[in-house]
Amino acid sequence: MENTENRLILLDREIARTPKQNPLKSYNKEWKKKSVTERAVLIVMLIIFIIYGFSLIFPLIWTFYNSFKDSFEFNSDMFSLPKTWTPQNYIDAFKELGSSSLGTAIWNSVWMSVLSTVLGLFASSLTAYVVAKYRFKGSKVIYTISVFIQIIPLVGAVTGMYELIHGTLQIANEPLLIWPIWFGGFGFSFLMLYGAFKNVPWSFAESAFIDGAGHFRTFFQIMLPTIRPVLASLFVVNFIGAWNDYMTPYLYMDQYPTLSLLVYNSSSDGAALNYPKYFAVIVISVIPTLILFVAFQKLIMENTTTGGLKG
Amino acid sequence: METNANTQVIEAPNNKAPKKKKHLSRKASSAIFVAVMLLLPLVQFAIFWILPNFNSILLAFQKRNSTEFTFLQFETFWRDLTDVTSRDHTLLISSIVNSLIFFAVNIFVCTPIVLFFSYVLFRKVPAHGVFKVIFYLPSILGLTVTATMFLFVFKPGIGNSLGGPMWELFKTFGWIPKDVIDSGKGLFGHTETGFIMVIAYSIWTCVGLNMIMFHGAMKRIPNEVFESAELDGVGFFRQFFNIVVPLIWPTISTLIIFSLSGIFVSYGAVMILTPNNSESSMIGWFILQKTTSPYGKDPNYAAAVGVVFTCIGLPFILLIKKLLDKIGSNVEY
Repeated sequence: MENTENRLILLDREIARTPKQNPLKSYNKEWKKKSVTERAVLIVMLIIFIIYGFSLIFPLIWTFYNSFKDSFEFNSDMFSLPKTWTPQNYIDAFKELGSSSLGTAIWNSVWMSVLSTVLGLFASSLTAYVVAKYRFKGSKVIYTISVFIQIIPLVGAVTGMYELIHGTLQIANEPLLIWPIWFGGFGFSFLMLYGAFKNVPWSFAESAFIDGAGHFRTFFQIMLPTIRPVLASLFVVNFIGAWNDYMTPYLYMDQYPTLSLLVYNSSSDGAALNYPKYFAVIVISVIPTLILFVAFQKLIMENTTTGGLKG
Repeated sequence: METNANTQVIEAPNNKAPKKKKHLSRKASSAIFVAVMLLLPLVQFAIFWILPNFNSILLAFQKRNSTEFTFLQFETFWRDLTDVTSRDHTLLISSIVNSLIFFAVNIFVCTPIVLFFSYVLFRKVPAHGVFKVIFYLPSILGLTVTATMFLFVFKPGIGNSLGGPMWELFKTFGWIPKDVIDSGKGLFGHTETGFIMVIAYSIWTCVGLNMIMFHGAMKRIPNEVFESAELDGVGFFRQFFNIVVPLIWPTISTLIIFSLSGIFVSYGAVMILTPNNSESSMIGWFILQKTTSPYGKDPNYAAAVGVVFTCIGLPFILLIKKLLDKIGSNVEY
């Protein structure tokens, strides 16, 4: 035992002493190992990637700098940089844009995105946990149905849902009643969380049971925290998805426009619009998602995976 | 809990009944836990998934504002499909054709592009980390923002003023047909180019999320596989076709199935880029307009169209899934 500890300490010291490799140098080493064909293909692809990458970034940059032009300057020249950079469009956008103020739209985006993400993840973790970890009649059926509803093209479902929400249930534009539509426990998050829970050894739960914990405590205090990275990445991805979702507010909450719906509605307003002011709204609407992405990009990239559809 | 377990062991030979009771109660507590955990999500599923779909089927067999059972909506659909003089014939036909083109482009153009891009990133093209982030950008910005920006960079200029940068660039190279320039409707509003722009937009933004999925799957392939392939002299392309594609096939087939399931449902890009261009409509957009539009709203007809395309799409997708499963390997990364 002592020997092992000593060895570990030595290993730690050795790791601490090892100079950190320069990533550029190690990449150069790796590059030299590649065959001539591979290097040639990668260089051609690099050129394609630069052009494609520029095409993806440029519209954002173009929108950004045009949001600092006045309407007259934009209409006479959409291409060049502003002669004078004025924040007036941002000030005007906050005062009023269309029928709804920007502040209200930001607030609607925040509460709808947070609520739909939290509710959806909570419901999915409840269902994913019991289906993955408990044997009961119907667990396989639930999993199969979850896979099935992901792949079948229910083309007319939007009509049935629209009529249900606006007609039978009458919960459209009712913030206090609309929330159950987000409490879905059998969507894409279910499949991701099901996979995550499957990988957690059941012995964790058994130890908790031996220590006197009940099923609920085991779930909330032991099992749920073990899949924190997957939960966190799903939270970020789902939040960004909810922030960008304009269809739900468009169909069911149009009196509570979110930023995304505001951008959509304004895009169809046509020439009546002051375009640079509209660009200011676009820039404001993308700031939160860009910040989230920059902060959590590693988490998103590493935990967003999918496997085969079994069932 | 430990005390209980000991007590149980000592008491067991003399008194079997309490042991059975204990066993049952543990089972019962598990059952109660499962029931409580599933109750609300199942109720939600019943109300917001089963009921709307059931409602759609019901609506399809009813007249507007009537509960009487009828095949009228399906007859109207058949007339619109076959009778050139019917009101929605052109719109319906172009919606079907466009949906099929959209699907074909997704499967045969976008998927191979994304797959190869992911492989190039996986093989560590210079600055691969930066490109991964940039390519994911459309997924982060969302459809409304990305499509709107796409719309504006191709916006034609008014009078003598300059248009959007891509419009000017394409005009300089002579890539914009003269009648499009003369019509003043721009590339999105013109009947001949509207849907081409929708397709161009879809290809332009298709890399994002699928790239992450493919790249993740490639990273899970053990390094030894590539090392031994290289020792055997297997080149860059053969490694792609003979190692990577077969080993990540479950991920590829899953994403193909997801694309397929959206074949008659997708409309997002059309809704933003070409909402008033009837030549670029798609089935999903056709149904949505019939459901929500203040002009020509007919939810019963929309539901009937939905039922027809679900009946066509469902066996088709299940068949494709079966075929893809047969092609693929049993190993999953």
